[in-house]
Amino acid sequence: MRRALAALAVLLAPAPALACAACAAGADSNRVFFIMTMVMSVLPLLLIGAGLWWIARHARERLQGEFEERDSLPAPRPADAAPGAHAVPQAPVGMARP
Amino acid sequence: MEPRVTDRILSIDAPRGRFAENALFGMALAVFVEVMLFAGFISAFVIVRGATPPGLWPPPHQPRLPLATTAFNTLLLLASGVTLYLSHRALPRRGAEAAARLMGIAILMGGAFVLFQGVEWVRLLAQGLTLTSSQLGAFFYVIVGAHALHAAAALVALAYFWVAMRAKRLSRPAFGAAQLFWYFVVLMWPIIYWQVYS
Repeated sequence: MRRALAALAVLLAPAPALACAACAAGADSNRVFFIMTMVMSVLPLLLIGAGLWWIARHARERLQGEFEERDSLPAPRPADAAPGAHAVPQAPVGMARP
Repeated sequence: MEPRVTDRILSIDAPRGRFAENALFGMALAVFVEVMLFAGFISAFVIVRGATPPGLWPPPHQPRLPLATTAFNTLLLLASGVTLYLSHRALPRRGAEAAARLMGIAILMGGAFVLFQGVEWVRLLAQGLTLTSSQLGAFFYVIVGAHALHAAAALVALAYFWVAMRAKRLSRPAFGAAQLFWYFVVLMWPIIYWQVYS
């Protein structure tokens, strides 16, 4: 008799088993889960993007001086080469000072 | 023999080719990792809180987190960050003496923040909020404790550079790295306060 009542109670009173902390509370929980998934997915990309932007900005500033120095050098003259020495290759046309 | 133009540009000895100091770049990478660590902590906390049935958060029979005193503490930490920035700006303009004075104030305010947090912890422990008393307690001590650990480490670094600044043997890149770490500690805290305390 007791067993039958227990079986009847199990059959008549089904309810969701709240075993998982992340899926226990229905729609609102799912919304929070979705938002935090998006945050955790986008955050590293944002940080990497910010880092790349910073590197690009600083690299442009720092390397600007390098190109100014290169452009201010005189073009090498063939007469400067010592007799018998290997010829120094000329700079590409785009890099030479006019 | 004069080096060729291309040799000079590509040489690893060219200091002007560097766009960031090693110390600063390394610290930026470390901060990236730390941001993701705290994002993971806070994400887990928000999901667990959101999954709690209505009316059960904060957990019943658990002490409430001190909102007002921590708000004051938050302002203290933010002021510390601003003062450190002013110290950074004062170093080339007003000299090491003035910069060290501002930096000392920043360190004192940061130290007061950590101290007040410790006092709050003792009070909450006495009221029954422990690491194992509830999910709130577990998350609170892990998240706030991790932040306090970072704040203490950053304060030790800043104190070292404060001594170096007064002795006029400061390494600017290393000081920059320590500043970056402190700014991370300062800016992470309002997010923790907003999510954990509210």
